[in-house]
Amino acid sequence: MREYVPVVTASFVLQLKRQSVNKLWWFIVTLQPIIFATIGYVLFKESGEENFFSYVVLGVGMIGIWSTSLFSSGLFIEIERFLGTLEVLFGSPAPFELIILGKGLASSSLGVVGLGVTVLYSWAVLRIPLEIARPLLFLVVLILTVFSLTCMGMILGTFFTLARAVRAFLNLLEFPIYILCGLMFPISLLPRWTYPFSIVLSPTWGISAMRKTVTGSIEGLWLDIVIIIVLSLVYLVGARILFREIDIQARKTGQLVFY
Amino acid sequence: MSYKALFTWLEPKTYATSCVLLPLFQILFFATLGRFTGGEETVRYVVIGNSIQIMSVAAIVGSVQVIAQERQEGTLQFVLGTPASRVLMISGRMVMPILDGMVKVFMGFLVGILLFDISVPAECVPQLILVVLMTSFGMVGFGLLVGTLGLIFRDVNLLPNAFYFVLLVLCGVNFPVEKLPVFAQYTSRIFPLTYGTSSVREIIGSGTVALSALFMCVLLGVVYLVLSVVLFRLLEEQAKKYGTLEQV
Repeated sequence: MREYVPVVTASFVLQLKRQSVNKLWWFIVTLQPIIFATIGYVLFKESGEENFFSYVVLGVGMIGIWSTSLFSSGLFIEIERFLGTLEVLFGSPAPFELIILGKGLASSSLGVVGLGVTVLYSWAVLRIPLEIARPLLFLVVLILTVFSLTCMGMILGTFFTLARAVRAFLNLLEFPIYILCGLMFPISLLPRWTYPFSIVLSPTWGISAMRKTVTGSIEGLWLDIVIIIVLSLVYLVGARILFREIDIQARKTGQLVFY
Repeated sequence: MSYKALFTWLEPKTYATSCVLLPLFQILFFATLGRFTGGEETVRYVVIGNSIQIMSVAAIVGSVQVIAQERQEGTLQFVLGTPASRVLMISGRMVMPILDGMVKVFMGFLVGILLFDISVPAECVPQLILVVLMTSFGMVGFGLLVGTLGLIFRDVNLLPNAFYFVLLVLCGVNFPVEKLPVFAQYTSRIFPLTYGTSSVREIIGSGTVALSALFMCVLLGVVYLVLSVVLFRLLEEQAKKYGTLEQV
């Protein structure tokens, strides 16, 4: 187990470096949160809803983390293929899924920069009071949610590698997650038939738990945390199965670079 | 035909995902946010605004593609080598983005009518088509200028992405322009979309068309088109003079 730590760490550091020079990423974590926070703030101001932090700041922050995770993790294998490094990574003695895990962790962690930008903009420009009733618990939930989004990203990355025909759908996954997970509004506003989709998505539980730590009414918080952990494990198992499928297909067809 | 071929979404599957489902989800997101924050009146406001915004985004993205992608596809040198009129060359590229934008805005209205009970009186449809066409013309003009500017920058795709977000806030899409700070209200006036959203709301609400708003959409469209042609010629001359065609 200990020999795997350097693999994940090296992959994590490389991805941090690579992503920090990506203009599109900077764009996602700076302009997007400012625009969404402004829209959310103006709309919420009219509504009489006073908990701007729970719905505007956290919601927009989570949107930034998800967008970063989606556009990075969903395309990890695709990008390696484009750079011509996929075969080298695949053939190395280090487990391929650990390399991808390191990259995924880096991307999701960098998504937190978007949350930071949202917090800063909301506090400095929109004058939204930033009060977290349970800061330590908030931090724990944030870390778990980021990890969970990494696991979701691993599933997406492997799925889009195997299913080329549906790769065009990657762009489509941004808004549906905002909606189904209730990032800026409660999911009770959605039709009942959407609930099964909402409950299998960990950001639904992540944002719910974060709101609880902000308001301090932590009833049901531990259930949210347990569900985030369970869903993360399920995503990891799913990703492992899909990685194995990629491995089998690659050896059987000899066409790894064409996936 | 070359202008049509430069339109990225000719394949039905790609068009359906990028140009139909993606805008649909955007409308659903902002409509649900509107329902949570302000009720049915806000939903109506937001759905109408986003329907026109997706048309404007299509106009900008489509226009940027038909100009700036010449370089990416390696065809810019052939385009600049032809004796064809630059005015016709640039203005001809407005056709596909305008058609695409028109499809999107009416798709957005259809979503509003079917899912959010928004009523559009039948007698208003001709006026709506006129306003949407003029707004689309104005925004495509703006998009062509952005696309020509895109020839200067290496990372062209960031520009339409940036304007996608700017339009969401500045042009009265999700809330009235009057709620913005004064400097932002002035900035909003350079976008034909600002006049388009207010006109469409006026038509649906009272059945009247503000001719001044229509005039501004056309005027801005023409100004942006002229600026695009001038800039395009300037870049072309620079490229020929200094032998930097591939860097244009």
